[in-house]
Amino acid sequence: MNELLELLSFGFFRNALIAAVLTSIIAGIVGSYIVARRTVFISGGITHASFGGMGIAYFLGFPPFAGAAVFAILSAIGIEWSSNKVGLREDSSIAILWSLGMAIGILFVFLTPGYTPNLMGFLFGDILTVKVSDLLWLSAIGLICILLIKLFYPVILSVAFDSEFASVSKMPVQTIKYVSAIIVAISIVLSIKVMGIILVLSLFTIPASAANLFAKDLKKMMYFSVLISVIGSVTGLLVAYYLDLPSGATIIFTLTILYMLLRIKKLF
Amino acid sequence: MQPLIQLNNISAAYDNNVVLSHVNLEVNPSDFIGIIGPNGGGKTTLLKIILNLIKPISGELLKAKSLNVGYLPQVNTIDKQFPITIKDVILSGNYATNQWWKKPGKELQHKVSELLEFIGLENSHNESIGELSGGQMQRVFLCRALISNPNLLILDEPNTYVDKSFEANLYKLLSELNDDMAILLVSHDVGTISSMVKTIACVNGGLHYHPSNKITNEVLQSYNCPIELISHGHVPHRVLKHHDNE
Repeated sequence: MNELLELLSFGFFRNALIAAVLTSIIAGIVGSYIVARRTVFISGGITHASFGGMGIAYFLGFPPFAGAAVFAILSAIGIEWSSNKVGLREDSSIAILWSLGMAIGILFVFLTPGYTPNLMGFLFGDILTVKVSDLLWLSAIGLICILLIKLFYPVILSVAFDSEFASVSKMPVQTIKYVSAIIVAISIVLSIKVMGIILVLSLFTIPASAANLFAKDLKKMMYFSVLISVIGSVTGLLVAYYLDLPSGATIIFTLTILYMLLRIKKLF
Repeated sequence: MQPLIQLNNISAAYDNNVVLSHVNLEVNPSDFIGIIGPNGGGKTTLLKIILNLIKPISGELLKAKSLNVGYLPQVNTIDKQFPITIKDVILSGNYATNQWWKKPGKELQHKVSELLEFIGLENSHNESIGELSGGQMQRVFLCRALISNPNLLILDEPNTYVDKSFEANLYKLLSELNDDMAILLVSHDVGTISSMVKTIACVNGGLHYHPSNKITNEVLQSYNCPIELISHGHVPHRVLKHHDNE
């Protein structure tokens, strides 16, 4: 216990812990929405496309996460827009976006003169270098997610469940779809700092899928999902620290173990 | 009396493929119109135009100011694994006329309970829809269509999943509802609907309105509506057309 308190006295670890909790709250809420709507693959496309923006931002000397956010938001809006058009093979378009984003990113990181940026940090997360400004961003988006769900839950639920019926009922379907696409994109990009491009998707899907085993509606799924996500990521972070392992990987292992335990519990 | 909906010379197409051409139809407050026609004939497209889900390429769609549509879509278009409770599904039908940002009041809660009792799912408010059978789910969606007290009820293939025990109830209910609202019913099962509806519209590229519910093979053929007549009875049978000398 003393050891844990001592650990918390380190600024970097405190920040990491707060980042893990904030990211878990966002991933729990947004992840439930993604899993419920079956748009995990789309989210994967957005995540990987953001690497293109990151690479270009690096090359031009802008903050890399701003570049990632621009790419993620544009691709999220693009996917939402094209899904309204008839006759587009959505899964293939997303796969193209996915790999094209990665290709652009790799190309521009390679072309950037001088030192090679910390690629591993982008790909697998770098939770121990989280800054206070990152925490503020995470808090802001977390707060927005909670507020949107608190205020607009009925209409968000109806549009997610049956958007055709919602539009017959004159609900603001397009607005909800575009706003939620942007929120999903920003949430993913901010979580990349903690989990990395390759691992971030699992933070959005494993807790939500585990919650889905027990929750009867979307709101309960969000609560459970946040809970599972916080437990999993904090435990994962501690395991990473004590065993000196990459935190992204240990968080996913803990979450997967939690998922399997809940799955087994459901059988009995 | 002003019609609820009026379609004037409406044509619709997907990517230059004309699905409906020059359709005229009027729906009046006490109508009960059965829409029949072969698959691919444009039944669903016609509904989507009426529901404003697609825009026609030409023609005009006039709607009465008082129009309030209750819609029952085909159940197979809906994700049955979605985490949502039965109560929330039914309540979502109310956001058409009521402000969705307000919490449902006592009256509305009571109405949900009444509807659930009617479809035999009392006390299942907080069950998730994943636990329902196809027939039960269809009844829940019927409640969603009815909770806003519509004056036009649009049903897309309502008898696909409905179990036999509820089918008679459904038809009785529809004819009761028809006292208060117009009904548009799309079905491929011609025999079943002809006994309930007042008039028939045959949709096959165009629309042919038949101002009675008597449909014969001759009627269908003369309207270029290639569907088979099916009739239900106590003994399985086929109805053949009359002999020429009769």
